[in-house]
Amino acid sequence: MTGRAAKTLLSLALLALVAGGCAPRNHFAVPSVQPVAASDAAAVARAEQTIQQLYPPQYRAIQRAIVTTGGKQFTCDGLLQTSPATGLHLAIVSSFGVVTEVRVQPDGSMELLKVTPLFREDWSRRFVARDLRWLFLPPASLTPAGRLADGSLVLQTTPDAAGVIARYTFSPDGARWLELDLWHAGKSFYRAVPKNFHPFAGAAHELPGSFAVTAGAYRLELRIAEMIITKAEGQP
Amino acid sequence: MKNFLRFKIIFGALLLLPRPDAGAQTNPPVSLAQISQATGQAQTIFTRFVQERHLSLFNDPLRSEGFLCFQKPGRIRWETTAPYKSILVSDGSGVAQFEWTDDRWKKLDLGLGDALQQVVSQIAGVMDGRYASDQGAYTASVTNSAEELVITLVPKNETLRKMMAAIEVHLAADLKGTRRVVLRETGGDYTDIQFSEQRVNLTLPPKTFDRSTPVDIEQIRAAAKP
Repeated sequence: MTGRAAKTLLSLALLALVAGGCAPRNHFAVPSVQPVAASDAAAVARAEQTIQQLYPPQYRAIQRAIVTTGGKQFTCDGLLQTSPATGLHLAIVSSFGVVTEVRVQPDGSMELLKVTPLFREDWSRRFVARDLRWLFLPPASLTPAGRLADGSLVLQTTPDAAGVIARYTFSPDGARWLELDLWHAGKSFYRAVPKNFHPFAGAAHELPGSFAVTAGAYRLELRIAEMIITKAEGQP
Repeated sequence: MKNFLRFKIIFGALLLLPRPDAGAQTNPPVSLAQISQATGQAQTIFTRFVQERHLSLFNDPLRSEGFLCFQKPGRIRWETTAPYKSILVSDGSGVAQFEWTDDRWKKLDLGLGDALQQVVSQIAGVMDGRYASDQGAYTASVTNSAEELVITLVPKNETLRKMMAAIEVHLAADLKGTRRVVLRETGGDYTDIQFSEQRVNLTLPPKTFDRSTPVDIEQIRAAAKP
């Protein structure tokens, strides 16, 4: 009975982790933007710099995640290792051991490194890689989308192969990243809010200490419990 | 899958293996049943742990540390204090989990509480010294050295062995302390949990296992001071 109970528990917990992808998508209100003016050039450049230089070139982080779905909550740990050469390498660990390991290359492509009986392969490819890519890998390039009514600056990516656009919202001067929305067919289906900015040891500036993600039928509270910044190869 | 998880639960329980009290067997060979009997003498346990998950594709381990509390019958508190704060607690009739976020403890609305309680109850059963009766799932061997005694559990199920090579439980040679538990997976990954500051049969503060407002860990540590 214990094995069955544990299997049920784990299966449902892991189902919860990916429920957002299985449930009908919720869409967020899409505020209108006003075109940027020529005088916004400096803020746009600052915003691009903010997102491109947000994370150190090479670091290791321990994450703690709380996933909420259907009013119920589950936890897991993440071990993230990054480098300019190999990109982002994430292992998700539950109470029962490693759940999955994925790598997102610097070009955004995804590589599944470890498949376990605890987690479906396509869940790793579809959902884990999505969070990893959009929360921790800066976009290759951004173009100005406009300003919101409160003055916040919005930059966006060009559509990927699936037609998804990432829209980044910044403070009016471009110095602080405020929000990320993923769009498809003109609707936002994924929203991440970086929170608790603070200076991790060795970082040149403040980094997000956590993220609040809402995607479909689930919410993810992701905390950066520990970050160790290391020197990249060739870095003085 | 079922057997695999069952094995994992056994492993989880072994992580919490208590320190046997005085009077335990000290002369080799020591049987698993004798060890189980010795561990069963503990009514309460408090110990510090450092857990490292070594993943073959990572340079550095995933490290966490905290404290474990146990009280018969079936009360368990597994509290992680670094690099994040989290409490998993069972009062024997139910489980609760708390996470430290935004400078306060937040009680999670755990799903599947009944199932989780069954898992914790199984762990408690092991801590009661009953895990020796569940030898159908693995082959157990005991080796002695001058410094320690190691129980090695190897899954009997071939499918399980493909994922989990062995579990090692390292006890002090005099059975007065559980020093370390190592879970060796196939492929090179392993989890190493080291125990220290162990106290047995101490008086734990009220609300140590409270599922609504568990007492602060510092009060428990104060109670555990020799």
